Amino acid sequence: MLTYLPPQISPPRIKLRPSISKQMIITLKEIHKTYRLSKTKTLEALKGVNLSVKRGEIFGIVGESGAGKSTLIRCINLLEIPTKGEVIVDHQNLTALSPAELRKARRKIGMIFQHFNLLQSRTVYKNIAFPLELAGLSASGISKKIDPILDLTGLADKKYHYPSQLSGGQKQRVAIARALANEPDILLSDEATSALDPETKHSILQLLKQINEQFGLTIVLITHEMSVIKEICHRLAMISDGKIVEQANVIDFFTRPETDVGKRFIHSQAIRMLPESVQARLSPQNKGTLPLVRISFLGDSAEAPLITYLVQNFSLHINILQAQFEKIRDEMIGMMLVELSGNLDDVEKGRNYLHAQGAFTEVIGYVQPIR
Amino acid sequence: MFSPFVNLIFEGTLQTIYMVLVSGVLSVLGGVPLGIVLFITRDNHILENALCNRSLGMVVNVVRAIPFIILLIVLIPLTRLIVGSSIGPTAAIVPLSIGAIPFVARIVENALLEVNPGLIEAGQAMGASPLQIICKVLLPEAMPSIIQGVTVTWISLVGYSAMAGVVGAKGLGDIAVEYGRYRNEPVILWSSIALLIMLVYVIQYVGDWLARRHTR
Ligand SMILES: Nc1ncnc2c1ncn2[C@@H]1O[C@H](COP(=O)(O)OP(=O)(O)OP(=O)(O)O)[C@@H](O)[C@H]1O
Ligand SMILES: [Mg+2]
Repeated sequence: MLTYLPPQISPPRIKLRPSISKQMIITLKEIHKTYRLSKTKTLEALKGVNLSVKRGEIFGIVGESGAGKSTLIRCINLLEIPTKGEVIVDHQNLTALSPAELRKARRKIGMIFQHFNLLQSRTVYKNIAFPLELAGLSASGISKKIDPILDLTGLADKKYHYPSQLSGGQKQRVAIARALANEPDILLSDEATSALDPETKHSILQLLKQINEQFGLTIVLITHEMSVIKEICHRLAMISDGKIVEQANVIDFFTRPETDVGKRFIHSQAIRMLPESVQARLSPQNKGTLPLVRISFLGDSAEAPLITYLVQNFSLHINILQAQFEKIRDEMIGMMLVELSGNLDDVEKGRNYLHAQGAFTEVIGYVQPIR
Repeated sequence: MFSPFVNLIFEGTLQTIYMVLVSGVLSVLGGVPLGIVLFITRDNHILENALCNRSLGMVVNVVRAIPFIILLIVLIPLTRLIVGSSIGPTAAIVPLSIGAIPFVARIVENALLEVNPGLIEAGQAMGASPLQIICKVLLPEAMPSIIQGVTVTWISLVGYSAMAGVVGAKGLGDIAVEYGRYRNEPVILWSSIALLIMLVYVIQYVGDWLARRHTR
């Protein structure tokens, strides 16, 4: 039995949450960063990065170790000065500011780090007070600001502890509190959850999400873990070898990747979940084989008995190889890998039906049937 | 016999304490800023300046390379210029301080090098000026190691003050040499040694206590 699939029909795109404005708060234009390693050797860590972050969104940047993530995020507050390019934050060209103006602009950009970077010689309270002292606030002005932040970050009972007396998760909470003290518009996070165990990681990510929703704080985070992106990000960028290779809405990216890089990533993730015996029979070309289709369901359709309906109404043979549900931000996403066979017309009708239900289908390879 | 002996030792003790205290304070006043400058002007540090760093580094190394006993002699003209005489405890303070300043400077530089660079970065990210980074990040974080290093310096100063005694600085060291070696008075010799040991213990005790108070 020979089957091929009709051209893809796109379901409607998912809209962003209304709290995210269309206005860009960060724009990176053609950022290059070259490090001098020695008199003759240089290393180009960023090779012309263009990036825009919308006010109020959580923007995630993923990439492998050495891809240039830290260099990129440090260019946003100019801890790293780009060799070329412009950094525009809140309509201000940071690259053109004087040192004093830059220091003032940095007060509105909080930053948290993988290893927390708390002052060991200061209590929790004094750590959070630090940026306020830098800004010249009086002691009474400082104390008024800190108590609500301690409550928000769940640190009220740790006020007079020293960092050495805290767990990793508590330290990162202090770092977040400190970053929020000046009421910034932007929070930069460089692998802030990478040194934490899964449960603590989850609680810190939830805190970031809460801050984003409550105060409309724009968050730019970098990570090497897709799970972090899935948990809280609205949009993502993938960086590889100093270049941005993909920028997408997170839910779109996981349900219906558009670029080659995105597809390759999603497909290889999907294929990795197949049993090895199936992987061995898989090839990218159609050689009289059965199409392996990735179906992603979004939102309500994830719970609907779509497959049953499909089998009953379109006389298709469906061999389910893999099925799973996953939460991406607050949405439930269903993902299935199936072998489809049936007559052409039914296959097309079936896919149209799925698309109409808000699902997305895509052929990711062909499987040699066992005879 | 008893009263002049006590007077002698008492006076010597006060002279030694005077020399150690004043040169100790001066070495901190000179050495801490010098150490900070050595640190911040290093490559890739907050006020990178290769010329300043290398020339200061060279001066520090040269002074540290000169054995103290030679420094004492070399500095006699300068001491005369500053104090008006090259003899006595006050005169000894000049070479003692000049010998100790580079020592403290390196101790401070090393203590600052041990501060997690991430803290400097965090400070910069929060909009701290270089001066704020020095006063609010670097010095507080390095304080325990600086105190320990300064304690070592002060203890060395006790020894060096005794050495200075040989060229007329007076103090317990002078008494020990004079009465122990030339007049064969073991009681006076051992009393001065005991007092020097006690002085070292007191300095160590206070230093440890201060360092502990600053350790978190
Ligand atoms: N200060 C520096 N001097 C020289 N090279 C540097 C410097 N900082 C980073 N690099 C180089 O730039 C490249 C990108 O580094 P970067 O730290 O941005 O990577 P990353 O994506 O954050 O990696 P990781 O996930 O391991 O943190 C790497 O090849 C790194 O060796
Ligand atoms: Mg990194």
